[in-house]
Amino acid sequence: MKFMDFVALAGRRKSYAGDYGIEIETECERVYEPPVMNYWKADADGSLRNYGIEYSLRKPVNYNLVGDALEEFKTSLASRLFLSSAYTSVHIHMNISRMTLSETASLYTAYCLFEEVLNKYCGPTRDGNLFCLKNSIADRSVNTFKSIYKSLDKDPSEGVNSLFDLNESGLKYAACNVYTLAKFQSLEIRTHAGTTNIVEIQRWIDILEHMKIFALQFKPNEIIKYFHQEKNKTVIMNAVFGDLSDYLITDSLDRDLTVGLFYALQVAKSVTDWKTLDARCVKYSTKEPVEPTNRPEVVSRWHQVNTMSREDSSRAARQMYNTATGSRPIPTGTASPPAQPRDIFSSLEEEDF
Amino acid sequence: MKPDIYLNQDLRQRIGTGLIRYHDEPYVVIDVFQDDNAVLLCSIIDYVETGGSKTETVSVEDSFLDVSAPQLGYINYKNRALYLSRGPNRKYRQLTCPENITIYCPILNRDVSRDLNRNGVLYSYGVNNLFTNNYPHFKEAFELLNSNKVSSIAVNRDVAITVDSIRLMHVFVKDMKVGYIEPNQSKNIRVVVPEDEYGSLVSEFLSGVDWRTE
Repeated sequence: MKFMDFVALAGRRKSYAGDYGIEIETECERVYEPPVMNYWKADADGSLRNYGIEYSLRKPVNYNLVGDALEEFKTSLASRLFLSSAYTSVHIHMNISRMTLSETASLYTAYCLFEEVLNKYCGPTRDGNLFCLKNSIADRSVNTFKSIYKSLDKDPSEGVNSLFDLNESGLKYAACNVYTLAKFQSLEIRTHAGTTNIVEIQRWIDILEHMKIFALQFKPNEIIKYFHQEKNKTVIMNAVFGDLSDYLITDSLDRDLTVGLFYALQVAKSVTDWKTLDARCVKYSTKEPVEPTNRPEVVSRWHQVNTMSREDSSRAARQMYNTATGSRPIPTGTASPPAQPRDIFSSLEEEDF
Repeated sequence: MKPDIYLNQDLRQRIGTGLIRYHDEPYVVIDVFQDDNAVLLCSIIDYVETGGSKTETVSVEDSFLDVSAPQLGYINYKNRALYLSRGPNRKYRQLTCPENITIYCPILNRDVSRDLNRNGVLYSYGVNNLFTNNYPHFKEAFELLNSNKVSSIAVNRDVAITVDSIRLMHVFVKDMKVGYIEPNQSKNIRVVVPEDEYGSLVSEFLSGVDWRTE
């Protein structure tokens, strides 16, 4: 059963095509007008300083288009002097809506296994960083994922409920945020430090893509078995990450993978029989009528929060630009058309004319 | 992680009271303030078992001050083992503090965060022992459990042993039960695990202890 069909059981019918969503948080020396781009939209982010703007993909893109999207980002913002800042980071959403439930678990199992390694790759400022706490520091994320699948294994309807009962504020700052399973049908990897260097971002996505390709060949328990069969961990790294393993292998590889193994094992043991999981859930979904009112209050709250946050974000961006440039506020009201990036950040010259 | 990469006003908010490391030892931040030259300072106090304590005032830019979230784990607290971990909460406070920890009790096999005084647990001397890696040796722990003096005991940051009503000893790696200790084998202690995967966890986290599958 695909993940998108699973969440449809709770009335959530919207899903996204594409493989990756990307968020690039930036800070700049001076205020500027973000360009209008095909792939990217710009939003203000209250957690950023120095004219911080978060660029995010308008919708997820396939892996083979990531390069095009990043190239557009680079060329459109080439003249900007971005600051190197501890406040910024790059978040990657791995879209799981088209994956089956067991494939999603395989991806997360692989992530758990390699988390320490990936964390080290992202540098010392990300290790123990409040905004991307790994499982060995804050394990609620993996426990949550595990309990969703445990309840799914027991009864699919319980699985749906436990997915939509997730509390964002209790999960948000994990290195792999599982709250987005319900919100965007994605796994949000928050580990990478802030950068506007598209080579670094592309490499990070390449690493995640390699991990995904590896994960999708196996069921979660098979990943654990594979890990045990191969005693030489460097061989595993080369098999999974190919040439990119040069960036990932360190002296503490054995230790890092064993720490990861503990969490990966927990996920792998959460379901009694991975081979039949998807079929069991499909059987459930055809037996039971789809119930959009299954948890109406949760679903409608989700929509409200989601819409609100976008509006708030645009409003904050508008206010920030007006304050910085001294231009008069752009009137807002229910009758106004939805603000486009160009309108929000209209330049002084345009206003003067 | 050096704290000096954040603005002062943000640092002040982020470094409230909580657990911090100075020269790799645990301390508790009791105050954060600016001096006359707008340098951000914090008062820290060391962990104490009884009696006096050592307080220091250090700049938040001090390179020996580590504000990053530490890896927690098992502590021995009032004759029982407790597993501490932190939640990835969406809160601005960086430091580990009573509000953002969870406490798992292996003997009850459940989260007891709401049942215990989290202040008392986080600022207990057991946490100091966690950072200084001061735990009873496995054999010593085994004897303590056998003598009925304790019902659970942590032997390192990742492993605790509990004893149940029929005197069977269970081995926990973090919050997961991985097996039990083979009964009536006081000389050659061996952990019985359900599958090989659990055995490798025993090998890694309890080095020197043998295991076999059931």
